[in-house]
Amino acid sequence: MAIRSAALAEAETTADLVDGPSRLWRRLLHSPLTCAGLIVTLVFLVLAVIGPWIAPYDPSTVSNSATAAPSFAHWLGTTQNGQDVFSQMLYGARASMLVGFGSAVVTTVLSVLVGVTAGYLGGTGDELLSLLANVFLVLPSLPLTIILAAYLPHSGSLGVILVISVTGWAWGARVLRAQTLSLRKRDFVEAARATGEKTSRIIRKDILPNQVAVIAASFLGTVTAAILTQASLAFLGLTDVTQWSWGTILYWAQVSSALLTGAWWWFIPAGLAIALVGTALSLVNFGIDEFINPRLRQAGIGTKKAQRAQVRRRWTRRVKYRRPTGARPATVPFTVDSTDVVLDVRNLRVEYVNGTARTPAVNDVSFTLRRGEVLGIAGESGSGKSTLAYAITRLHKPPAEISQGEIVYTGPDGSAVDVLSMPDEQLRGFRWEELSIVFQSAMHALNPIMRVGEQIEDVIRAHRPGLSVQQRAARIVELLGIVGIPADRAGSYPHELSGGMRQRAMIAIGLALDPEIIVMDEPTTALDVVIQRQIVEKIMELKDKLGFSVIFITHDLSLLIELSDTIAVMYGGKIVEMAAADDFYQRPRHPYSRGLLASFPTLGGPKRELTGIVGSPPDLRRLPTGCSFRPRCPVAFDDCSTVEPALYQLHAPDSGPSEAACLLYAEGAQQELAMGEVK
Amino acid sequence: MSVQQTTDGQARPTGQDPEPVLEAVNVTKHFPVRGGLPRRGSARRVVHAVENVSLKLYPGRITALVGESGSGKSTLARLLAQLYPLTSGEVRLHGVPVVAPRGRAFREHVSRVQLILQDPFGSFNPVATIASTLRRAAAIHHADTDKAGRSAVIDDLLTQINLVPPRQFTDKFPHELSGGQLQRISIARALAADPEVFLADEPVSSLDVSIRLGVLNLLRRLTQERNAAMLYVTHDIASARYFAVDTTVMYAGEVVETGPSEAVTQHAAHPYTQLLIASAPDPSRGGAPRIRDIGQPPSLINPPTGCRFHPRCPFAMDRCRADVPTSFELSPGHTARCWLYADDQEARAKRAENARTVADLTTGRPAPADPTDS
Repeated sequence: MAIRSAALAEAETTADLVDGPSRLWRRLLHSPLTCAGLIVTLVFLVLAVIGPWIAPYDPSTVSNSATAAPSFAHWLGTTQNGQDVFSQMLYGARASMLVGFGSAVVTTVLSVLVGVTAGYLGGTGDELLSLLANVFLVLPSLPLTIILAAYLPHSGSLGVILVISVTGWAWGARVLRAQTLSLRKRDFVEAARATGEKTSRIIRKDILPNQVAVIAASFLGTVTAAILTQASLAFLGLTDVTQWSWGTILYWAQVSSALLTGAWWWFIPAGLAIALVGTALSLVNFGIDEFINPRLRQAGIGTKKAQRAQVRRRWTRRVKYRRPTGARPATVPFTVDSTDVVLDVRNLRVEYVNGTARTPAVNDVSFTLRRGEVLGIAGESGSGKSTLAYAITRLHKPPAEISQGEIVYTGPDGSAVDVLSMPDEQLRGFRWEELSIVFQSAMHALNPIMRVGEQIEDVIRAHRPGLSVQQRAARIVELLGIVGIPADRAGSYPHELSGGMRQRAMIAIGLALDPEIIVMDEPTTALDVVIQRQIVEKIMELKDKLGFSVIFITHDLSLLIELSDTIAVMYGGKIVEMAAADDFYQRPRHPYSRGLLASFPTLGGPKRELTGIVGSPPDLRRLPTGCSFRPRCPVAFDDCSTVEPALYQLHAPDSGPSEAACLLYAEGAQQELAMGEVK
Repeated sequence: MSVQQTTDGQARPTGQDPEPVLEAVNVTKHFPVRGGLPRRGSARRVVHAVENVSLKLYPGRITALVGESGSGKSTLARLLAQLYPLTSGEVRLHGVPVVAPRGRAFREHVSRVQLILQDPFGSFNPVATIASTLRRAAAIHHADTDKAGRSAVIDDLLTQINLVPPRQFTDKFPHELSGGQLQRISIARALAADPEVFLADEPVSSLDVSIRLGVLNLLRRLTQERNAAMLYVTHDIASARYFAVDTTVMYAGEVVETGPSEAVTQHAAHPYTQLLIASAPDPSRGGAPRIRDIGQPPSLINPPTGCRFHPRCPFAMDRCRADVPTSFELSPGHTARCWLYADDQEARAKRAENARTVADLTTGRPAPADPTDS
C-alpha cells in the first residue's frame, strides 16, 4: 500500500546520515549471520588457494596405515590405500572452489551480457538473443552435462566449468533481461536519457547498479550449484577421478564401501564441506540485498521487537459486538446541529516504534462523526492523515502502534462498542459490516487475477454465509448498478476496467454489506478531474440515498470543501482546525489553513494572489517545540516556540462553532483581532 | 520562497510576437500495438497518441499544455525532447527542423531542450547519491571542466534552486530527501545543460500543495532570468491560469483549444474545455450546477471519426461525426477546433444553446464572448 510505505519513509528517513564504508561495516557487524557466511566462504577460499602448500602429505601417496581412524599423524584419518584424507580435502577444496567460482564468473558474465543487451536494445536484437537463451533453456541440462562430461573427462576443472556455464547461463539471462526491460521504463533512466547521457553510461550507472542484488544472488546461487554439480559428476565417476576434489573423495569412498566398513572419516568431511559452503553462500545471499539497497540499509523497519509490541493485546473493556439484526433505520438527512454520534474518537495516539524511539504519527486526535455526516480530513504527506485512517479501521501494521485513546462506535440501535478492545474475530465482523474502507489505489487494492464480480461476492460470502448463490448474484448486480457499472462488467478483470470504473468497483465492495461508515483514503487522487467529479457525485448521491457516514481523506482542500459537512485539518500528527466546511472556507482560523487555502489556484472569479506557505512539512521525528507550524508561520510570536497550543473553542457571531490549535486564539477575541490586522 | 505577484509575466505585447524557440508543426505520433497476430489485408494496429498537433514555445514565456491522462500531452513533450521519433510532422528549433534520434545530434538537441519529469521519487537512481547524479549531468554539459570545477558547478546549481548549503544535500540518497527537494534537484539537473527550453512534465503534480507554489515560482523565475521557453504540462487547468501565459488544451491526442490562459479559462469555447473547467474542484463556485457527464476518453486505437470528442459532446451535430473540425479564431490568439464556431445556421443555434448552458453553470461569470456572432 503506497500510502503506508510513504508514511513509513517519512517517519524513517535520515536516522544516521553518516554514510560511506564505515556505515556499511557497522551494518555488517550488526548482522551476525551474514558475517558468519562471509567468514566461512573466505576461509574456504583461502584454503583453496594455499591448500596444496599446507597439505601435510601428497594426497595420492599410498602409505601403510590403511583405513586408519583420525589420529595426530592423520587428522582426518586415511583411505583404504593409506592416503591422507585431510590432504585430499585441502587439494579438493581448490578443485571444488575453482569449479564453483569459475563457472559462476563465466555464467554471470554471459547472462549479464546477453540479458542486459537484449533488455536494453529491444527490437530484433532482443528477439534473437531471447531466442538463443530459450534454446539453451530447453536443452536437457542434466543429460547434456553427463554427455559433455563423458566426452571431456581429462580436461580437468575447465571442462566442468565449461559444461556448467553452457547449461546454466540462459536462466540468469532471462531474469536479467526482464529486469532490464522494467528498469528501462523507469523515470530515472528516461531522465538520464533526457540529460543526454550515452547508452553505455546509462547501462553502467543506472541499469547495472540496480541489478546488483539479482546478479549477486544468481552468482552465489551458481557457485553453490556448480560445486554440487561438480561433486555429483565426480561422485558418479564422470570426471577425471584421479584429480582430487570433494566429489572424487566421495567417489573413492563409495567405490571402496567406506560406509559399510564404518570409515566415517573418509566421506563425512567432504560431505560436510559441501554443505558448509552451500550454507555460507546462502547466508551471504540473504544479507546482500540489505547492503546494496540504500533504502533497506536503515535498520529496524518492521523489526521483531516492533511486531511483538504490537501483539500485546488490549483487553481493557470488553463490550460484546453483536451483528446487527433487521434493517437499518430510515435515513435522516444530516444537519449541522445533529448529536447522533456514530463514531467517537478520543485522544487517539498512534506511534511508529523503532527500537526505543517512538515517533507519534497521530498525536492526541479527537473528533466525532455523526450519522450521515461527511467529515473531510485534509493534510499533506506526513500529517498523519492516512495513519489515522488505518488506525480507525485497525488496519495499521507494525511498526505502527496505537498507544493511547479510544474509538467508540455507536450502532443504529444505540449500542456502543470500543473498537480498540474488540477481539480479532469480532473485528472482522465489524469491519465491512459497520465500517468499510475505500483505498487510494484501486489497481493495487483489487486482486488482479480475480473478476470484479467474484471480489464483491467474496465479501458477501464471508459475511453473509446464509445467502444462496442466486441471492448473491442478485446483490452483485444491484451493487454494480448502484455505483453505475454495467452489470455485464462483473466478469471483467480489474485491468480491463478504466481507472474510474475500478474506483467504482472498490466503492461497490465497500458498500456490499451496507455499512454505517465508509472511510475513503484519497479515493480520487489518481483519477482525472472529470472522472473524479463523476466519482464524487456518485458518492454523494449514494450517501443521500443509503444514509452512511463518510470520512473522506485527501490533500485536495478545494475538493474537500465542496463535499464535506465538516472539515478537520491535520498538521504534524494533530488536528489544528475543525469547522463546518462553509465556515472554514469563509473564515479559516489557523494560519496553516489560511496558507493552504491561499495555495490553490482558482478558476472562477478574478485572480487572487497565491501566497502559499514557506518551508516544507515537518519531520515527525523532529517536530519543532511549541507549535509545530511555527517555523512556517507568518504570524508566529515568541510564545509559539514554547507553548504547545491546545484546540481552542471559537464562537464567532457570524459563523458556527469551530476549533483551532493556535495561540492567537488562546485569549479570545483580542488576539483574533490582531490576526485580522496581520491578514 | 518569495511571495510573488502571480500576475508577473502575464503582460505581453500581442501582435509582435518574437520568433518561437521550439515549435511543433503538425506533429503526429502513432505507437504500434504489440501483441496480437497481424491480420492479413489490414494495416498494423496503432495507438493514435498525438495527431497533427502544432505548438509554439517563445523565449521567456510559459505555455501550458493541459489535458487528462491519455490525452497525449506527455507524449508531445517527449516528442519535443526527441526521445521518440515522430511519425510525421516536424520539430523545429529556431526554425530549423530537428531530427536527432541518437548520438551526437541527440545530445546536441537535449543540451538545448531539457525535460523535467513528474515523479521526483522515480526520476532518481535509487542507488546513487545526489552528487553523483548531478556530477553526471555536469560531466555531459560542462565537459571541459575538471573535477573541482564540476563540484563548483554542482554547488552553483543547488544554490540557484535554493537548496543551501549545497553540501547538506549532495551526499544524500534520493530516499533521504523530500519530494519538494528532489523536484528542485531535478530542475537543477536540467539547469546543468543551461537549456533554452524547459519541458516540464507535470512538475508539481506529485508534490504537497503547500510546496507546489514554491516550485512553480522557482520555474517561473528561472524562465524569466534566462529568457528560456517553458512548456508546462499539467492536468490542473487552474494552475495553468495562474502560471502560464498561454494555454493549449488537448483531448485524445488532438489540440482542441489554444489561446491566452485567461481567455481559455474564463471564456472556454470548446465543450471539452468547458467540461474540464466545470469538473475541477472550486469552492468559489458555491453550489452552482455542473455539466453532467458520464463519458470516458475514447480508445486511441480506434479513435472516433470526425471530432474525437463528439461521443461525449452534448452539442454534437452530424457534421461533428463526419469531419475533423478546423481551427476557428475567436479572438486574437484564441482558437478552438470545434464546429460550433462554424458560420452556418445549425452551428449558430447550437452555439447559442452552448452559451446558455455555460452561463447557467457559472455564478456571476459572463458567457463566453462570441466574436463571430454580431
